[in-house]
Amino acid sequence: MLTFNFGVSYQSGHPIFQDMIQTGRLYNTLILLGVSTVFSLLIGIFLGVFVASKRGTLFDTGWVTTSLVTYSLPTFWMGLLFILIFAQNLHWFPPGGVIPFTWQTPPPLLVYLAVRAQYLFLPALVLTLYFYGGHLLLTRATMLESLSEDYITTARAKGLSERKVLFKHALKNASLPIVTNAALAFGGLLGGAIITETVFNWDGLGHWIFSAIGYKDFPVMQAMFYIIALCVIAANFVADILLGVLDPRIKYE
Amino acid sequence: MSDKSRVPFILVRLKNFLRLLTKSRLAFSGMLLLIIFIVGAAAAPILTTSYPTEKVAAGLVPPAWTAYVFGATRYSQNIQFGGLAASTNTTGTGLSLQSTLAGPDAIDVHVNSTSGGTILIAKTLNYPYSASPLEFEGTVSIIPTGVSATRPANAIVFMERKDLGQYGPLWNSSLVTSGQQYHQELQSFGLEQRLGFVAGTNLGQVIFSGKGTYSLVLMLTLPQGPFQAEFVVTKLTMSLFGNSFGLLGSDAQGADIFSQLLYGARLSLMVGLVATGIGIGLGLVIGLMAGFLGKAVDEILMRFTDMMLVIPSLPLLIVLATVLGSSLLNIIIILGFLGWMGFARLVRSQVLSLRERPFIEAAKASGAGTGYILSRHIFPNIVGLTYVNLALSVPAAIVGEAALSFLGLGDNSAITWGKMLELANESHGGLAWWWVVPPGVGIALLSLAFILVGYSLDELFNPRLRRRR
Repeated sequence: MLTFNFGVSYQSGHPIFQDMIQTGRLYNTLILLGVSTVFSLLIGIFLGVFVASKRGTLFDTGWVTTSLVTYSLPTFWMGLLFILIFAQNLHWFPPGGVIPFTWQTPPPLLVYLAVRAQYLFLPALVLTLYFYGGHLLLTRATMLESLSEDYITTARAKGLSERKVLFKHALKNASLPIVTNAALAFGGLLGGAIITETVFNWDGLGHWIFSAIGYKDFPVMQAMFYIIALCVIAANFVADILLGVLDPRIKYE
Repeated sequence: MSDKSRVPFILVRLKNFLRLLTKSRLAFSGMLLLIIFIVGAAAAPILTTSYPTEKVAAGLVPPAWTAYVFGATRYSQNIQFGGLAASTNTTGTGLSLQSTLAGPDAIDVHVNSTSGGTILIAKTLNYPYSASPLEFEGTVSIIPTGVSATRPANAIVFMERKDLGQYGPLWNSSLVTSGQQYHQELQSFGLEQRLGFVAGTNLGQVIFSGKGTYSLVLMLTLPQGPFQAEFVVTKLTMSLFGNSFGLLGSDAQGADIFSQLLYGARLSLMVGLVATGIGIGLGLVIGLMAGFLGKAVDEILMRFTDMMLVIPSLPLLIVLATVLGSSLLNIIIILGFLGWMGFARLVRSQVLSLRERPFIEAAKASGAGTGYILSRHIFPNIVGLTYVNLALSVPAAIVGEAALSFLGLGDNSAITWGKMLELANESHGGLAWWWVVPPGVGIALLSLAFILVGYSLDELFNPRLRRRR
């Protein structure tokens, strides 16, 4: 366990650790999850802050409804719909895969990055759309609470710019639950990755778990669940440390 | 209070409750959506003409209304041959015929001949579409009496268009045994080589190449010499499957997607409600026990709840479905057993506050037992929570089942919405929008309906959220 020696995959006959790294699965999943986590957090938090500052307007209800809808849509259906519209009818993006089959040797760097971004776009969009809603709603709720505090009135009275009031004073105090929730959402993100990677044929860990279940490839399943558990623990650990940084009142002894 | 006046009181309460619920616009639209789904699911056999797996159209054709919307000039719809009638071919002497219709597809023919001859039993069709049908499918079934091995009659089925000629034989058989049923399915696939076309030729397009009057003919040739017989044609049908079909088109197997959608709503509602029911029941029991008994029981149950909460649910769901088998019942049970944790915590926190109230103390002082207090004093105070949670966790169960089915781990015999999406995803020739969109919209709208109702129930039962009137 500690040496990451998980034995041999029944499907390929190779050691699991080697299968995970050398086929690029770990890397692919990290890219997909990383990009969609960053974007969903950024979009969710920023929109949440603005929405909270314009409480009760059409802007507010519009975004809350939109995020509720994207939040409750099944990811696989969203994926299928995007494939149908953007890949099959408009041909803007490839319907699935990580890189084109035709690539024997890596092309020049710029082309490489552009094509990879094109392949990454749809799956990352689906995951982002699925997760930003939760962040937006939570940010809005905590922001509304902290915007009604006295120190916000004080800050406004001091003549600070609205941006400073929102981000420096309100958001910073509202950010603790957001950080905790982001860490908790990590588990859900991995679940979403299984489905999204399957829909888009994205050769990552989620897709691997799925095929391992189909083949009853127990060592792979074991290894993947171990890694998921590690990731969840690590995410919570990082969140705990971040909480300490954000709020000096929290101290770990 | 006597039992007689009790019933109306409950009804009055229900009426008041419903009136409150319909006051808010969101709650009303949620209820309306929910009622539409329930009625659609319940009336599925009335609203649809076929079962979800029955072939009633050509494979993968768009809905019929698309032709009008997109202004397509070349379209065709499903159409059938009709107007069954029998006649003699020759005006010759010695052949007399007496026929009685026994329904739209059946006819009873008595024949009396002296020197042979032929009888034509035909159905006609005035084909109104400019586009050819993609497939055709028919049946012929006949029971002769009065024939024998030495004096057989011969039956041939062919298709005829007045000016273009005949296509046939689609079926050719000697009727030798009296009282035996001769039966044949007439399908557009598999007949092309018999008719002299290259394998894979679309017979529907060859035969029905345009508007016109077509007839489907069953020709019976009688043996020479004096002959007396009865032919009971129990079935002579022919359906043409056009390139558009019904309200929502057809899937790759030619089944009606509208029917799949309605029958799928039944399964989704059942999965959602039963799984949530199991989850709520478990949550209630565990929450009540943890909250009321406290101490060690509380500690153990809550740590177990925490553990279950932390595990990512979808991977666990997938593994359990694989290991335990994926019948619909199993999936419902698994979903139920994975959906109680949040509710258990909610119930526990409520019970913790309730059990310190004076009325519980009063009950204890007057000698009530634990079971009595739980069922008579604490449970009625958290019933509202139960309704709210029931409504709010149904969507999770519906989406969970759909996700499992989509991944191919669902019940293969049940066409649920997730199963429809899986089949649509795996079918060759790309995704068809009329196959992908309806199940997803169904899942989304049904979830939305439950969420809307749930939030309004929450507003009703949760005093903190109740608006001033």
